[in-house]
Amino acid sequence: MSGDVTGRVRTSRRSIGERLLVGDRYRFVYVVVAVAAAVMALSLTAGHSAALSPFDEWMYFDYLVKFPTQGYVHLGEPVGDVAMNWLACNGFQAFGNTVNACNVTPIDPAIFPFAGIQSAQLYTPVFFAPTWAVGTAVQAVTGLSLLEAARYTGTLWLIGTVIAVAAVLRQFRVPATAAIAVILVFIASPFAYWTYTFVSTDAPGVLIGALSILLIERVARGRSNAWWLVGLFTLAMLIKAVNIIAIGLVVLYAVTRFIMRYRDRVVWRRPGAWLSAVRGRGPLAMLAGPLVGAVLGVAAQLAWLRVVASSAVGAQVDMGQGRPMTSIDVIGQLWSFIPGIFATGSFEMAAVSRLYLPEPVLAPMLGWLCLAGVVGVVWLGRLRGVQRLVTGVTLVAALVAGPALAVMFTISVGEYVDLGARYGANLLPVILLSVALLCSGRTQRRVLLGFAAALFSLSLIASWIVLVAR
Amino acid sequence: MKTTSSSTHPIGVEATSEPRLRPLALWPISAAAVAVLWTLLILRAATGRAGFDPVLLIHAIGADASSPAALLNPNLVTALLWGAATVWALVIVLHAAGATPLAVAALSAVFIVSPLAWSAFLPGSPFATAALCGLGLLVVTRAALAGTVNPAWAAAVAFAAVLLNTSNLVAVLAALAWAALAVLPRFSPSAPGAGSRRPLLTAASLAVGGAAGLALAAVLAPPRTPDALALARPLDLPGLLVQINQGLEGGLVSLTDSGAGSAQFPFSAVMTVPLTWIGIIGTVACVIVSIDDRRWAPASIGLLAATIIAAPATALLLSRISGGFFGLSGLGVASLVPMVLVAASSIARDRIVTAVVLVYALALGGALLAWSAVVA
Repeated sequence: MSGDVTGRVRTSRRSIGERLLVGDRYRFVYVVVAVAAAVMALSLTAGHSAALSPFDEWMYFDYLVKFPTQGYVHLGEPVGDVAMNWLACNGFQAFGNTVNACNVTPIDPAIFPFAGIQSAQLYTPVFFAPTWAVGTAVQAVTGLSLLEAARYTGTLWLIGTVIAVAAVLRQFRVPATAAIAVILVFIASPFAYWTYTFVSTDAPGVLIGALSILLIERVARGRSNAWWLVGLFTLAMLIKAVNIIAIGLVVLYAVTRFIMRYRDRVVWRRPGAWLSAVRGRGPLAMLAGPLVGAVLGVAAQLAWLRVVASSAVGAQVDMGQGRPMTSIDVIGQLWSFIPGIFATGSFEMAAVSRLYLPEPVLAPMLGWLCLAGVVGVVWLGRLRGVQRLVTGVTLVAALVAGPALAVMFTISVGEYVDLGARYGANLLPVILLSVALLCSGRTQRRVLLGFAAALFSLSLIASWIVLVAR
Repeated sequence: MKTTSSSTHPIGVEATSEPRLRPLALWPISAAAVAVLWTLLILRAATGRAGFDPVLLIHAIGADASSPAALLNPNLVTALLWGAATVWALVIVLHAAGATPLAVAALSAVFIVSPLAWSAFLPGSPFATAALCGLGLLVVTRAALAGTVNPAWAAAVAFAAVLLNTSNLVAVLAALAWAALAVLPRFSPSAPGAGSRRPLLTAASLAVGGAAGLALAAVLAPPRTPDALALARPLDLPGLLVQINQGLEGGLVSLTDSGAGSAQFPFSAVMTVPLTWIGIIGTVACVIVSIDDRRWAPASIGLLAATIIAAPATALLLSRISGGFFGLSGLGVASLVPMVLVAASSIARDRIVTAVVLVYALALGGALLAWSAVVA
């Protein structure tokens, strides 16, 4: 049984006609969000100047340039001349050119950020290999530079992401209009702007979060094999270590769902229970898949760190942002992800162009929506079944993930760095789910859709004006 | 204790048909709440950590922001009485709004330990009356719309509220937005006996009362000091846009995030983030939940509109009067806080989350008591 926010309890049994209707509506949702994502991402990407995103795109560009020859970048390695000169000539989006040494030879690394030392060695080539491949293909067709061509991979990431998020919303029986609305808000958010229209290692984050929660729910319903999670988690950790948040979310969800469903039954004594688990089916597989995946994922990341250490050519760059961690820092991280994640980079976005909604208006509104969705839907307490469970787990995960990540980071690096809300990208699918469930009533859906359509339209028009003016 | 169900509503427009607590049961809760508040205030006064005096601030930013009537409460006893009356009224209104006993305790505790109470009930603070004025406007607007009192009472309360502190205009605007929305056929009151002209009369009464209070305050206000003009700055869009956040995010946390506030409230702003969240969730989620309810939608939408628009509008108005732009602080929207808390009570249905809020408030209160005791 499940229920919506208005307290109406729905039965899990639906007529064939109803199933077809839901299916048809969601096919429409998939098409709408995919087209919206493509149009928005392509418009924004085409309108970009050669200036680099301030969210580490400079380092990623250097990684892409070096990928065909050396595979990955090494600890302590200087940034190459191509990326150095690109930054010196074009500067950063929103912050301008801070180096101002275009085509100056020899290049003086001291005038560059981090003294011109690479900081992307923590990333395996798993993200950069397909980015380079697609970028090279786009470059061959369009004649753009490698960086500008590689930025178009973000469009593919965004399309895949919105389809996966729509699948999550469908899995938890969110009405189609509410699904379209929250996904349009996501596409038009500052987070999407910086993540999917520049080269960013955050691009797979939301997709991984969506696939994780989708897969565990399908495993719990006996529709998917639990071992898919092992592959997904290993891949996720090889893409970016911060994807451990998705693993934590799934483990938390799987454990609580298992306890709630089987608390009165000793399932491990059932005949064939362990054999089913090995096959990736049955109640125990719901726990085994995520746990084994978590272990292998962490092991993969640790193995990569060994590779990084053994191939180092210099010392770790000092970013000058570290300091000892205090209890206030940990408490502050509690409140980081929920209101902040949507609006990541809104300040920089406003600085890029006055055409975009100014930060003082856009960022708080998106944060309010997040808060009302994630906390409000749980506090209201009218959902039942898996909807109640997933929103509760979302709230706990969104609160705990920040401090946990900060502590882990401090332990591994030795100093505390204020983590941005974008590191919670894995949580965005379930945050969107919470917002959509809060707004599942008919009038709420319409109002939310109106807000989302307005936001999307304004952003799209702004992107077109920038594109035409370029 | 009775545990009957009640209709969910955001602003307590219509009380539950059957109260969850016997009226007498409210007394211990109210008395305990007042006792905690008094303890905090007395200890806070005993610390001698004046730091930053809101009265001085009012004089500094232009006496127009506060009327002479506000200076009638220049001592601790008066502040304690305002505090007691506010907390007592808050408990009663929350209960009448259908909040569960746990929610009444949690949201009252949230108010008591908030930086708002810490700052507003300082001896001599003109903001000591703000929350009570907000509650009064809420109650009288509800009653006028329901037809249980003459709309003229709404005018009287609006007049008194603005006269006591001009920044209470934000609460008058919230009530006005509520009544004005109720004029629309879509939101017209459906209660038996409710006349179609009642929302219009209530809105007009609130507008007349607020305008009269503002006019009298402008006449009675002392002349501006040179300090006022020194703090003024040119009116600009970014400054005005920042005010949009103030209504939703600034009320309960008052001044913790400003330079003056960090000297005022003893703990980091990080500790009071949940208070900001409660305000936002209460207001925004309340609108989302009640938007298709023709009875309660005007109240919740009116409150949200007021929290977003009233602060910049009031700042603009005060700037016109005083000749310079002064952004409202969190204290400037203090009169909206009780409305926000009552709205939050309509969301506070899950016992676990409500209990967590109560535990948080008690922990923050305990920390404040400990800090005050040590410093005193």
